[in-house]
Parts: sequence; structure tokens; C-alpha cells
Amino acid sequence: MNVRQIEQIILNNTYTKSDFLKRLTIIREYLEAKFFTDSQLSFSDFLDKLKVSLYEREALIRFDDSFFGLFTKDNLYQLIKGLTENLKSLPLLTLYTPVMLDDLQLDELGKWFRQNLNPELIMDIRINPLLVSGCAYVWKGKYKDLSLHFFLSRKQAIISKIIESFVHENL
Amino acid sequence: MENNLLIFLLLTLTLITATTQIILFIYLTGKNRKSGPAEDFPDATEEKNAEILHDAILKANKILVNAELKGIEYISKRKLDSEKFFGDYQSQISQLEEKLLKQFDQTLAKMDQSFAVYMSGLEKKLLTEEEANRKLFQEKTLKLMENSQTLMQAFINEINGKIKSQIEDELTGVKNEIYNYKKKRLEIINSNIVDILEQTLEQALGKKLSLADHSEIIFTSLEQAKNEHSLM
Repeated sequence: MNVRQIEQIILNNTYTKSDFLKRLTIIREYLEAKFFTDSQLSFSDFLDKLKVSLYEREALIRFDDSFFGLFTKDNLYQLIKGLTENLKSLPLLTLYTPVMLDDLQLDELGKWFRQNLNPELIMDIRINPLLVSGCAYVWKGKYKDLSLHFFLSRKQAIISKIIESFVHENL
Repeated sequence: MENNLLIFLLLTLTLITATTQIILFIYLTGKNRKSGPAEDFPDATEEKNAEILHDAILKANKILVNAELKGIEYISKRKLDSEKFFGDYQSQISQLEEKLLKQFDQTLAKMDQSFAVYMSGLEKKLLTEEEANRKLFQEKTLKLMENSQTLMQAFINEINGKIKSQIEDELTGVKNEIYNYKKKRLEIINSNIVDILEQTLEQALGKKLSLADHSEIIFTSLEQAKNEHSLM
């Protein structure tokens, strides 16, 4: 099993870059404890020990023994390094939101983008309060604005008409 | 003048006679002194001389008296003549004066009369002229007033028209300016309406939208872009 395949398993329920790196770190720590210490903790106990959130736990608990069996003492760091470097080559979508959405909402967004843009993309979430509402994203070097500004601009003619009719009636 | 000359001659003669007598007296007295005792007995020549001198003196005196008498006579005559002449002159002068006064009165009366005639004629002429002038003045004044009224009316109408057109132009200009100002303001508002609304909504909605609302808006906008095939 190569890096690519492990990557696919992780990406199955990981949609953001930060989640990918966080989960890879947890996997590495668990495997380091397993290979290089006397720790006999199961992955579930290890997660309890780390006091990860419920959301993380639900995402990570899918990694079963067969997944961890892909790693050995010898190939652990090689695989980790390969996975980290492969992350840079994944199709990246930088998503700008006005507020920090919760994990479930981000997962939903990730699923949506993978369904409609690229099944392998990974999101990089950035916060931009100036968007007020909606979102904006950068995909393949192009910026797409789906914020309040964008929708107001589309309706500018209608808004101008409303203002003009108000002015004619009242001024 | 002649009187003065005559008086001068008389005085001259009197003076000469007196001088001659004085010289004779001096000569005779001087001679008596010179002769003294040796000459107590005058001779015939000296007697003759004395007689001659005495005759001369007597003649001179006679001449002098005659001359004086002549002179007096002449003077009297002259005085009488002059008195007569003066009387004649005075009477003639009086006559002339009366004549002249008469003539002057007549002339004056004539002058009065002709002056009165002239004055009455002049008065009539003046009255006629005055009447004619008054009529002419009236006519001219009426004409002038009519012309002035016409000109004033035309001027007033012209001014009214100009003022009216100026006011209308000003009003039109002002209306245009107001319209252009409104239009410009609307254009400015229209061009910045998105930013205005954005800032307004940012202030109004910023802390009012929940995470769920934000999520819903994001998904709605993504779906809309997908339906419009404008995802990328």
C-alpha cells in the first residue's frame, strides 16, 4: 500500500487542510507510541487520552487496525513524510468565509465542493469578515466572489430603480 | 476879453503917465538941488523947458484924462451894449426857450401818442403771438406727451419681455441645475449603493446572523452559482 492509497483513506472523511494535518499528527503520535514505547493503548483509548473532540473522534475512529497495519516501524516516517508532501499536490480550494463555521458545516461544504468541483480537492479555510455574508473561494488560481457584495452588485439595477422611484415620489 | 484889454491899456497908460511924472519930479528936484545959490535966477531956456514940460505934463494929463474918459465911455458903452445884448439875448433865449418848450411839449405829446399807438399795436401783436405760441406749445406738448407715452409703453413692454425671458432662462437654468444635481447625486449613490448597503448590512447583520444562517447563505449562493454554471 502506498502513500496515495493511505491518503485516499484519510481523505475519505477529511476535507480541510488543517484537519488533514491534525489527523496525520494524531496517527503519527499513536503509531510512535505503539512502535517505540511500551504503550498498549488502543486507538480509541489513545484518543480519550488526547481528549479529542467528539467530531474528531468520530472521524478518526474509522481508522481501524487494518489501516494502522499498513504502517511499520521502518516505513512510518517515510509514509508520514510522503503524506505531508503529497498534501501540497492535492487540488487546493481556498475558501473565505465571514465567520468560522463549525466542523459539521465545513464537512458539508467539503462534500459539496468535492461533488461539484473535484472529488480530491482539499479546502484551506480563511476568515474574512468583510464578506459580511456568503463566501468567496479561489480555485485553480481564479477568485470567485459569492459574498453579499456579489449579490448586491447583481441586483444593483433593481436597487437603483427602487431608489430613483423613492426619490421621484418623495423629493 | 475886449474889456480886459481896455482895462489893461488904461492901466498901462496910467502907469506910464505916473512914471513920467515921477521922473520929471525927480529930475526937477534934482536940478534945483544942483543949481543951488549960483542958480537962483533961472534963465529963459530953463523956463521954457519948464513950460514945455508943464505943457507936456498938462497934455499928457489931458491925453490921459481923455483916454480915461474914452476908456470909461467905451466901457460904459460896452457895458450898455452888453447889457442890451444880454437883455436881447435873454429875451431871445426866453423866446427860444418858450418855443423850444412848446415844440418839446408838442413833440412829447406826439411821441406819447405814437408811443401809445405803438404800445397798443405791440400789445395786440404780443397777445396774438402769445396766443399762437400757447397753441403751438399746447400742440407740441401734447405731441411730446403722446410720443413719450408711446416710447415709455414700448420701453416697458420691451423691459418686461426681457425680464420675463431672463427670469424664464434663469428658472430653466436653475431647474436644469437642480435636475443635474439630483441626477449626479443619484449616480453617485447608484455607483456606491453596493458599498453603502454592504456597510449598512455589515453593521446591521454582522452580529445578528447565526452560524446556521451563514451556512445556509453560503450553500444558497453556491447552489445559485452552480445553477448558473458560474462556479468557475
